[in-house]
Amino acid sequence: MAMELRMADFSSKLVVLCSLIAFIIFVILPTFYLISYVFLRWDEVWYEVFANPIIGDENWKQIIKVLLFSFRLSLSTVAFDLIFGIPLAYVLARKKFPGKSLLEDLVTLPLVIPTSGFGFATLITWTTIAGLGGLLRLRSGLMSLNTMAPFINIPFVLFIVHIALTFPYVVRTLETKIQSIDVTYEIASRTLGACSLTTFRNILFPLSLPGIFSGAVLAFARSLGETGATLIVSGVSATASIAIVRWASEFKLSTAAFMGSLLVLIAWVIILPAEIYVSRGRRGSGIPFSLPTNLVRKMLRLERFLSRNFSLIKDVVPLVIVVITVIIPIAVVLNSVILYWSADPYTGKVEGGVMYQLFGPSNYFGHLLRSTLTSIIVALISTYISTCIAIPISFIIERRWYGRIIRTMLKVPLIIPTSSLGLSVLLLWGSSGLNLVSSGIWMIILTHIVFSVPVIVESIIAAYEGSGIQMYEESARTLGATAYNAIETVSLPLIKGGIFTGFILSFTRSLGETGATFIVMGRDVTIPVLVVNMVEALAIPAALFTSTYLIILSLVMLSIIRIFTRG
Amino acid sequence: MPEVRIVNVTKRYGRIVANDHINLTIKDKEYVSVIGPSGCGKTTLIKSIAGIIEPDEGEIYIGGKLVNKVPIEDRGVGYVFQNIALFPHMTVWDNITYGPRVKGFPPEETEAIAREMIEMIKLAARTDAYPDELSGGTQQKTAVARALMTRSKLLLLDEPLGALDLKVRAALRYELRRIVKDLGLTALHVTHDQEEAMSISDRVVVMKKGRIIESGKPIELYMQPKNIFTANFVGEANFLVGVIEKITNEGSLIDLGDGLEIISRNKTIKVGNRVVVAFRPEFVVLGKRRDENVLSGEIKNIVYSGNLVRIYVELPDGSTIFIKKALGFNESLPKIQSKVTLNVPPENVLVYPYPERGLQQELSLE
Amino acid sequence: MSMVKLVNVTKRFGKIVALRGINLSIGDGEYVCVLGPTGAGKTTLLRIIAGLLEPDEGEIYIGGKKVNGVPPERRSAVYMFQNFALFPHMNVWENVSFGPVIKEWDSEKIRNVTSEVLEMVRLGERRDAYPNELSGGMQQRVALARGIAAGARILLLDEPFGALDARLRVNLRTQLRSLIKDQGLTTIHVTHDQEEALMVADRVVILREGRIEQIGSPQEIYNNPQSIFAMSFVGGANFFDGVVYKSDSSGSTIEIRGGLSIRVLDTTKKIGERVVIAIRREDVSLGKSRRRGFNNLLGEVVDAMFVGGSIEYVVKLENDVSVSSRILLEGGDSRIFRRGEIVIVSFHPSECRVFQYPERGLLKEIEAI
Repeated sequence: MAMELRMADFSSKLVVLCSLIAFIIFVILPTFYLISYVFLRWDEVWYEVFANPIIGDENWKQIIKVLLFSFRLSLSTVAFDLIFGIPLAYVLARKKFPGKSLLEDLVTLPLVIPTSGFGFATLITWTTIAGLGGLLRLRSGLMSLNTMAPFINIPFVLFIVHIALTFPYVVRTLETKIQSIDVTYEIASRTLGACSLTTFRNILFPLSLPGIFSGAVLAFARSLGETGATLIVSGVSATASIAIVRWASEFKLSTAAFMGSLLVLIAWVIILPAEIYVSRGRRGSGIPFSLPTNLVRKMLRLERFLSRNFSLIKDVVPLVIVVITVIIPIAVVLNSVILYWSADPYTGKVEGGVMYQLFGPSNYFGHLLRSTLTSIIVALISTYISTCIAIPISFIIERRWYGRIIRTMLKVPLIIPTSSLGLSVLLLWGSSGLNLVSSGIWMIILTHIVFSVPVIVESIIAAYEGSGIQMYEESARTLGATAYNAIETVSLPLIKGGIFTGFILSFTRSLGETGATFIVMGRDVTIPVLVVNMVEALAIPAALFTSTYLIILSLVMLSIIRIFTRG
Repeated sequence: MPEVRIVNVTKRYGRIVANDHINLTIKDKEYVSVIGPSGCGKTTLIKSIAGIIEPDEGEIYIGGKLVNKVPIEDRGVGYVFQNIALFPHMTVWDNITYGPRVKGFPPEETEAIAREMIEMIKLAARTDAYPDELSGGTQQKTAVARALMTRSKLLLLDEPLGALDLKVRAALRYELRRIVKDLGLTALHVTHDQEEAMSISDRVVVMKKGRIIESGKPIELYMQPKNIFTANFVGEANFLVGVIEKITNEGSLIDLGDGLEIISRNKTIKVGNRVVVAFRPEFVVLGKRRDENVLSGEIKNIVYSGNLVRIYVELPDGSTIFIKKALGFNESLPKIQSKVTLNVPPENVLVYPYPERGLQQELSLE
Repeated sequence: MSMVKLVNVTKRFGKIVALRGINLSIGDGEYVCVLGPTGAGKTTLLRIIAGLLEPDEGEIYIGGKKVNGVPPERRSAVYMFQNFALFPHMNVWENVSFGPVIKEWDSEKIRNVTSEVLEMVRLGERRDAYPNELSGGMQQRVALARGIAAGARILLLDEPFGALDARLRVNLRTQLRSLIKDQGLTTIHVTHDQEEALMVADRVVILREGRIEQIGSPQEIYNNPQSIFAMSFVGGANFFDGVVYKSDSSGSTIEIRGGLSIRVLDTTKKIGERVVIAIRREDVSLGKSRRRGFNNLLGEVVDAMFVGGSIEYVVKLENDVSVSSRILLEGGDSRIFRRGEIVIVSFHPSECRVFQYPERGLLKEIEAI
């Protein structure tokens, strides 16, 4: 009996050790490798970036230019997200209305949608006749890729894509935070005479500030690192993450690595203080009432008026944004596939039709089949391995004192640019580094593991913390179950939902991932990368079909999650 | 003019009827408690009055005005929550002055009222403290002060002492009553603790499964509960089953079986009907005081609780009743397993028709 | 031999000392209540015995063996949470048989033990039900059955009635106690409800701010409280602030506010010493005439409140001090005093307890809010 117990103890310790090692090798190392690469090869980097014999420090100037542009883009994106995301988060967190879960799914969609497919959908919606241009009976697209948005001096289409992709970060993070705030505070405020807008200003806003901040940070980082869709819509401008892809493909590895490290460092510098701020106190007091009384009265009266009469607007406007940025592109793509099915509807040429491109001489259908196989294999294997790592890691995070550190580190792969990630994996495992793996399907799998593990872990932890599992575990232990037993018989069944959701989310993300895959793929092509290739080859109808295909796939996945979590 | 009038209020959640055609009138300056087991609908009712929940049917009048469509912030009622709900990011002072501030009162006036309130409530907390630095009782007192600062005449208390330790509860409930009476307010207090309600209310309303079972002064509900559930829920009681044998001028004679008979002053239930006889443990007397209602049995258990003692006696037919007694100065008790004689005054014997759904079901506290 | 023994146990959480030098010995089959206000350290104590927390100092012995560092699954002490923690994904049968299944007994033994235990708590018919289909009282019985089936020798109950309605508690506490006593289990029951502790415990441990204030049988604690806190927390009392002005072998006389004097039997305090006289509300009687040999004070009834079978009167004495008297209603007609009536408040010297005036002040000791 004692021997068995000792074995059980030993095996659980072994599991912990193995998961930690796997975690470090597959997730942490690749994430931070870029930085060490730059340090180790500092001379090379210096040479290429700053003291290049041919172009001097031109590369460095490029890096600065690209960074500044990226910052401008991302900051504007976040500002927009906040203005419209805060009301939406509030509505989703507090109100009940028919169609609410549909709305929630729409908001979540950009998180899992294949970025290249989505970028493509946005592209044709705004810049070609197949989209809004055709709807408004113009001769061509509504605008071009290089049309600038007023005030901020950023290409409009790029801006819209970034808004769509980062909006969920603000809304979801804030929604979760608001849901965790006891609604009784707001009710108390109203029984004391404050209308809902005044209540929001005095009570909900200060209490949810950490959520707003957190959401903004995540959105900023996501925008900074966005690669897949940006590859398609950036036109002549270049964001930092696109620059990495371009330089890597031009074999300016040191410059790419340097840019990548800078981005990782920036991501670090952003999250760390944000985490600390969020976990600290919530002692910020309400907005101080040091305004003169009649001004205060006017403000209160205004709030009362707005609460009474315009509450509908605040609910509707964010919805409109979601519709414009997310639904319309998808609808356009679906519509266009049908339109372009047999031939180009405007010229009548069969060569411009989907069928021809797929089954004709270019045989994109064959490519599509191969890519589908590649994508699915990659997604399945990487998700499976990630789940095996994620489950023990989640428990370690919940039970050990160093869990918080691990959890913070896990946020990094989620927000560094995927292209950085791809580059890092390439350099670590490929010929410039350990030389264990060559570009291709296995490297893609290794890359996907890096961002899948955090997604699954977050999903499991959300389920864990929501269900008061700790109490059941403790009960089980005093009833005679070892820690390992307790997890097996009590905790795992109770968080089944979280594991499943994490699995599906990560599978879907893997299917749609573009940026990192682009760098490490070698000859093996996944579906999203295929889209990029098609666009570059100007095989628009084929790209249409493939994007549609991808988008429908992710929609199906999302509904599976919905059905499962509801049922 | 009555302060609160609830007319036919009904609220459903799916198939569950939380409030089933509730009719209730609360007079001006009355302290009314609504009690009942968890899930009886008392919380739904008080939330409907505040406007937090909207009833499916019925009307609610506050101060004579129909308030069904009036939003929470305009109903002018003070509300005290079970989980206290002091704004965690504000100091005691900011919490208390919140009401006047969001109404746009000038700061000097607000300060004056606040100081007066703190004095009146005897709030012993530092005004610059944050809620999580205060004890539970002090937190709740602060919350009461906050609710009263709005100068409303109606105070709604939703299980206000539920989150507190027993001892703090016992002390704070009297404070609540004192404050309400000193300020001349009308109060509606919801709780599952009947002792709490009985000790401070002018009137108590008993609810079960969405309906009002009975309402009356605390001492009425205790001494002469009209409903068998009230007899069990408010205080404790012994229940024995029997049949009405005879009705005389003094009352009725009930046959409890096995030769046991008991007399009560009730004359309303007809002969031959099956009934349940109930009497409170405090009213059973040890020893033979009168000739009527003499029971004998054997002491099965004696449980001490401070200076109270509960004596469990088994009657000849196997049923057990218990007596609750205060130990007097230098008093000693008979031992376990000794035979004793008991006496129940007929005035304290309550009689109810045998419930259709069965005794256990009717008495059930859950 | 004791079943559970704690020697000098101390536990800190950062700067807060949750438990300080706890020494406690609990016998086999004993039902002990740990009583104290929120934050006293009761739950910490229970969790340390269960093995869910390790003490910073001190030793814990279960069944005579030292168990510091021994994980919970090997301590045969079952922890019952306030909301019972029945596994939501298992039905009653699976919950109750959890212990035996985990211990890998053979299936026939598992079946026998589980049925037997379910019968014992009278829930045999609900074996297929899931926890959320059961009432609070039933859930509690399942949790108890689960602990017994697991072969626990020690039951650790953390505010077992906290999640239940007040009225329900009164019925359930005696039922729970008899079930436990039938099994001969050693029980440590944590609560802040002194009435509960007095009714079910063999012995009561009063815990305050991490320290044991007093240990004794319920009657001992009630009749012989060693401190103002113990007297106030268990049973409650009237407290008078006064100074000793006469003292001889038969007793002392203490002067309280307004020049009133109270006679007590205590002879341990010196003349001129500031003291606190405590007299239980149940020991204060009201009447229209003086009682011989008793302390008699004149006062006016300012409040009469109905408190579950008793009436509690608040009487304001001549010196403006208020006294509470709690009288149980009796059969027949009880004499009820009305507000405004002038009465004589009487209590016997032998029932007065005298304490030294506390350093922290009287209000702090009786924890007035």
